[in-house]
Amino acid sequence: MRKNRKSWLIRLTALCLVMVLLVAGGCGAGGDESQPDGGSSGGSGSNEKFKIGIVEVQLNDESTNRANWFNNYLGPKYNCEFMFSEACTDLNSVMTFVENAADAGCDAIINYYAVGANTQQLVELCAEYDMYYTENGGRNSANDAVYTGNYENFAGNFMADQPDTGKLFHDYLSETLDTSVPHGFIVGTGAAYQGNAQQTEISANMLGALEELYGLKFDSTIEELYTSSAPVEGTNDKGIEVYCYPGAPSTSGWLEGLNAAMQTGKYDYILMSGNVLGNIMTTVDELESAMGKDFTVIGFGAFGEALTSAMNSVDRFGNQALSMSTVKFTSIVSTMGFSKVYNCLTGHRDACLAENGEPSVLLFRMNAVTSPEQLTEMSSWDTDGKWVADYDFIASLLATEVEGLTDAKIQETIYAMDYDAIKARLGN
Amino acid sequence: MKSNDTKDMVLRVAKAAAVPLAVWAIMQAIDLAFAGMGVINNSADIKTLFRNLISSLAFALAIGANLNCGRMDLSLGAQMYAGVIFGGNIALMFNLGGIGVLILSMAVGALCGLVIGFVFIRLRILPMVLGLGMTLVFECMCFAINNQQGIILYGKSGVDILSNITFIVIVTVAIVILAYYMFQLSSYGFKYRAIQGSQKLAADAGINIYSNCVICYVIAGTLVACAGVFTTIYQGNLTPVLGMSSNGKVFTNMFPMVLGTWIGGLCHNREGGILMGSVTVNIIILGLTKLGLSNSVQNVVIYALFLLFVVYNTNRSKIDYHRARRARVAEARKMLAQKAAVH
Repeated sequence: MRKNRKSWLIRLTALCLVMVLLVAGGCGAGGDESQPDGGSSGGSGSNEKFKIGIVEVQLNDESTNRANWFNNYLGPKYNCEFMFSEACTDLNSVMTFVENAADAGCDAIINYYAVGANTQQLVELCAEYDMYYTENGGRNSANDAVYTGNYENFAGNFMADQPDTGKLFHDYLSETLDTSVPHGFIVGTGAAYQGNAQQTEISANMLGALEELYGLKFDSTIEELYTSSAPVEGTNDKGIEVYCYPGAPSTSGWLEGLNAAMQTGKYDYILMSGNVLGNIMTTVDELESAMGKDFTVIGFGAFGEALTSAMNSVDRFGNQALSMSTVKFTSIVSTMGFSKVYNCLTGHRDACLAENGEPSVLLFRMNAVTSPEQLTEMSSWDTDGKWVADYDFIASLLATEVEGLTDAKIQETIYAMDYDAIKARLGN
Repeated sequence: MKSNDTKDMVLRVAKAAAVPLAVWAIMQAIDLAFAGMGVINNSADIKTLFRNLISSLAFALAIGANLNCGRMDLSLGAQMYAGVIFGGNIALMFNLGGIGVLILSMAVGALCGLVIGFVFIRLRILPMVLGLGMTLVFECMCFAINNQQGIILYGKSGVDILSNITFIVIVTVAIVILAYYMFQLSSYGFKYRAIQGSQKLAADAGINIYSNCVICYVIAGTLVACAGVFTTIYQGNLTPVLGMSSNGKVFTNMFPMVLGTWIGGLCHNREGGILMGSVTVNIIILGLTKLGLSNSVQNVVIYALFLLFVVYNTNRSKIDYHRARRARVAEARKMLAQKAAVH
């Protein structure tokens, strides 16, 4: 009898474990189905409640800030509920999330894991479930067919003005690099070899700046250098040491490889196109001690602990540990994605179309940050209670709020939100 | 008698050290030839080597602890994440510094091990299946806390000690000594090895195989959390993962564990062998990074070496058999030749 009961207990527990496996397997996809309906304040324009799935690619300060803005600021005002994914790093995980989101009743998807080759498949998947789709990426040869394919559920995309972001690095190098002193450069090309637009532009601009400043000519083309999936030396006619190092810290051995390259003693400028500041600064500091060599670090960044620590640290030579980085205001970017799907959901898809009738790509500009004071000032802006994208700004991007709103007008409004405009708005 | 013991001891140490030394010599030659620098060039290299060494050593010991008793625990990676993310964040919250982060992480890791151990002995689910289930549970828990941020150690005050080479060496030595004591000298170790021989016979002899099993899980949880702290301080942060991605940590550290067990067989000291196995694998990794190879090529080399070693290790008995057979045939031929010469 006792044995029988025990056997049943085992079976029941095994069943529970299987259920845990299934539920937990989908927990990432189910993610944070946060924020209750919160819409009693009844957003202007539409009283209908919408649920929007958001595909995250990284879980960091930025994604936390974004979730906070969506859930606690935007959601209650516009009667929207949001469902966040785990950090998706491949198409399969995004598709799983989209299917789970559809089951959970989502009306639209905002995808931050943008890979051009995946866009069409995801748009078609969303179409099957009657969901609108937009992603944080641009238009390129891999996804051009989506723009011309008359997909009614495709709202177009939104992204950073990548050439402008790249230019920030180009300009900084042009202004600060002393070419009369010999320097060597490690250019972290990140995922440029996979077609990542941001890292491509930054890498290309950094290499381009070196070409211009030293008047050198690489033996390979700049494109060949940043699209290499293996580390490659940028040999050139002026003998300047340039080393292109692709990959990301999540890959086993990446950090050790960077460490080894720095130890060759040939390089003193570390130029990073990816957001890796939190990962490399310890290594840089240790090598400065071990080699007695001053490294200058310039790299893409985002508001958060890593950038704050790096920008506020002083190395053993008395210099700022991080010389220059970039920041973006998450709430502005989030508003762009939201406006895309919300305009579609409220029957104003025409506001998402360019003049030629194809879905548009909205662009935003990043800001350069070069001092702790500047960072402190900027980082206090896009936080809870002091969002850069406030209700006025959000409303200016929604066709339910602005009669006759067009895509061109939306783009104009976004571009108008530059450093000076934000400073004026927030009263600093 | 005493001199024989000393000689035997020296011979064992020599055997254990021979493998990493040989590998270091090979990698040094390759690096000097192709990269113009050695495997270890300065204090930063030593620091990197030791930090990675302590991580792989602790992980390899943890995998081996359960595997030697026939339990493949696939949740070790998730226990590492849980230990470091929960314990580390608590320590940071109370400003306990680097040592606080290490101790609390190990404590939470031990707690995770305790939970899995209890679940295992109560339910007797296959360890691998249980490991997979618990992996998902722990991963989701790590994901749920701290706004999915995991833990960030870069830039935190008081955690510098975790990068201090003397501290890392002290912790490494302490781990090896404690593991050696626990598994070889303590009464727990005697029972553990009895169970390793035959669980049924050990149980029949009155050994409490259940408590032994739970303690084993606790030790493994403690060790992986320790490994995780040193991985995190090197990488700057530890971001939670989902979908059993944490299992990668288990498989990555299988090579030092398997190689270490083999070296341990040579020197009759499993813990010392795993230490040497970890040193060997980390020298290979450090050596490969100096060559400027892409990460994928490095991984191909490392896992190809692992595969070759496993193939060799699995077929070692066949090689020994053929060697002995050749010796017997040679001996027989020699005797026949001698007989022919006499007649």
